[in-house]
Amino acid sequence: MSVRLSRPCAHPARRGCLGVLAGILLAGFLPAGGARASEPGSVFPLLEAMRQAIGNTTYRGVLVHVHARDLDVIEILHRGGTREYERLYSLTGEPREVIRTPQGVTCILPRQHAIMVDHSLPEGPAGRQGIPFDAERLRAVYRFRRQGEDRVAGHRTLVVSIEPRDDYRYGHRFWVETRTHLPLRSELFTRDGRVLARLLYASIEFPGEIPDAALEPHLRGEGYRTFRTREPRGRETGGDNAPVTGPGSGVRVGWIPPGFLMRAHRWHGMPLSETAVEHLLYSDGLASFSVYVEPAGGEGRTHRLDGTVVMGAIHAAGRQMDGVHVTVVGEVPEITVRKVIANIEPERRP
Amino acid sequence: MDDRVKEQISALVDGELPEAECRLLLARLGREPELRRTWERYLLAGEVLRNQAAPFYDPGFSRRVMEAVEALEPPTATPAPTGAAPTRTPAWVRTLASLAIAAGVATLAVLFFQPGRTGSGGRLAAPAPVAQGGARLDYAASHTPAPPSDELVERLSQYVVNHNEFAARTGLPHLARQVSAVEAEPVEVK
Repeated sequence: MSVRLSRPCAHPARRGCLGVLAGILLAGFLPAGGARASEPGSVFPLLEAMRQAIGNTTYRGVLVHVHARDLDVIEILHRGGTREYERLYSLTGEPREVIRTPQGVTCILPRQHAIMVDHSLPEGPAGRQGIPFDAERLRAVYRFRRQGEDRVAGHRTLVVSIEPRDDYRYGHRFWVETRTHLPLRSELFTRDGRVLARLLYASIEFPGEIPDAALEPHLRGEGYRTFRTREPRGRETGGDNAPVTGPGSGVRVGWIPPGFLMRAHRWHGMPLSETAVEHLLYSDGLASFSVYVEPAGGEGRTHRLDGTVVMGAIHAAGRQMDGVHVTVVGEVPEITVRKVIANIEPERRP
Repeated sequence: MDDRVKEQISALVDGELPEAECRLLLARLGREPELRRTWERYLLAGEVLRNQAAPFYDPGFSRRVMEAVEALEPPTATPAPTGAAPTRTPAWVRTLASLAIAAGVATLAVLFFQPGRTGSGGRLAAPAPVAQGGARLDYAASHTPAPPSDELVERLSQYVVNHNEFAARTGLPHLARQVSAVEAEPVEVK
């Protein structure tokens, strides 16, 4: 069943809201829709196809994000393949826009009168597609289940549930479109099943091509301050023997949750930091968190995090210690960032 | 009912209708049952949407709703100048109040609040004692739950964007990573 509230409106945000309302009410938010009971069979081929489809598929749609306190509606245009390019534009609230290219991400934020430019990860051993799934490692920390079929935005999907085996990571549920393998809906939930965020397409189409003009930013950003990171230097890591802390690090990370490995270690020039910021990235293959280390002191010291904050499903913890300030950020539960940061010590060099 | 009116009703429910139009529309809602039914359907849809949205409203939500209800009361603290007409609640406010009461307090919130949105001049949500309905952990007493500075929020935003860009290549690209940069998440001090 697909019903649309139809009414002409001049502003795209208003069109988005209405379409969204219909989409959510009729397709997305009926809990798990027509999903059937668990089915046997490996879900990894489907998840692998989904992972690749996100980068390779060309699509445009209206995406709804319902999270802890709010609902955002976002127009998304994505050109897949070797010329991957993506434009996201918020249809609700303050206008915000993000342009992603192979070179990096540009965020245009009118409220802050700012443009943020961040460089993408350089091509690692796995290329732009990233690191393939390690099923054995993932099964140790998640349970994978198929939950039958459902429809999202008028498309047939297969539902996959990924449940955490401990409290250090969140679970995921994906509605994977059967033809393109694009996830048309997803949920992020706690170990006890509490949903923290839902994302779904209220509408989506798969044009063969998206013209360059459609990918141009709506927001001009004239007169805005531009914050630009310098090119990172460092390396991607991976594999069973990946160290917990990289060589030359200013800190020793004494504890990470089971299943996590250090996946990258590099130094960035962050816009608000006068010196390079050390960045350690840890992932279990699904969840991830970053540790940022920068020198303590200086003008920015009063603007550094001391304690814990939450931004949607993202938690961050900050702490100052001998000569450095450390921030842990990730889409992981609060207990994870708190335990990680509590077990970080400055590296004692001989 | 023409599309323009439906558009206005939708904007009213979304809290996006300009004040002048709001007054006129509320007056019509008080007079026209069909219009009111349409408005109620939109509200219902919004409520269903929000109720389905799990831990949607923050713990301060009820309080803010009640503050809004109180704000509807006519001002009494300042006496009217001698000879002036007694202070009266504007008709549109009374209409709004009666409609809101009829539809329940939650609908009032739908009219007045965009949960999680900050004011036009602000950027941060007020600190909440419990986030996302979960059990609160113990926090070190030295961590003052003061609202974070704009500079801190900018710094954290950069970290989040940076982390998401890198994290997307290390695991399953979660859709939220695609959209997190475009969203203005309120920051809560824990």
